Amino acid sequence: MPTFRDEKIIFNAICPQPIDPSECRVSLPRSREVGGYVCFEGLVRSFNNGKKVIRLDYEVYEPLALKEMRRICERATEEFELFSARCWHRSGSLNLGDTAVLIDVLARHRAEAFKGCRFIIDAIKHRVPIWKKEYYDDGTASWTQCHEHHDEPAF
Amino acid sequence: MNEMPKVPYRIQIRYFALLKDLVGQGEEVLGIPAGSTAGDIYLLLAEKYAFPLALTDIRIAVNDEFTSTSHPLQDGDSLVFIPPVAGG
Repeated sequence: MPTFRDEKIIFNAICPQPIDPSECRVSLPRSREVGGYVCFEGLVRSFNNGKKVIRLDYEVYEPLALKEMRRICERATEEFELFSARCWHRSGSLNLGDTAVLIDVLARHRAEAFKGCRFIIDAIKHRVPIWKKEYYDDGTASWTQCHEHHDEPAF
Repeated sequence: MNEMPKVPYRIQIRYFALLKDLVGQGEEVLGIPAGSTAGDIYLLLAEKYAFPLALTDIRIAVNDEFTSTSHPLQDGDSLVFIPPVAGG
């Protein structure tokens, strides 16, 4: 019987257009060995750091972002024995409620699926060269710097 | 005896996010002395453009791969300074 490792599927994309969660779900890889599916969506929220956000822009250093997303998914796949790890991240201009990031994973059991998905979103926030500019209702805007990343060890 | 003039390397720098706003453009080509490190160039440009981030606050990418601030630059390299990220 093939192991998960032999079959692992990794997919990453930077999306200038809206992410459609139903399309991601339809394209989910299938395997009879899979017992756990976990999907995380990050959405654009109206308040951040005490200010009212009206929209935001994501800027992406795409060649390196895609490489790093792949490394993160590969690491998660090995560490948590995932069958698949997929990630879509938006670029460009987003409105409130839009999907900013979607991650889904498949594993034999739920525990590995939850842990793997959590690992991937946390690593993306800390490691992948993507930046967010928030626009506020008072007419100001700022690049958010919520994560320190110096001395981030390489995978 | 006259010192040989240093032949400048030409490197491409791409700017993102806060740094792009401060520079006012997404990229530029820069002539640098041979032997310069990525960190040397950051400090030079941080002064020129008043970047608010210390060298220890950023990461460096050369030719689309993470590297260290002490990375020695070669002619034709592509250099990116990576301010703290905020994806997800």
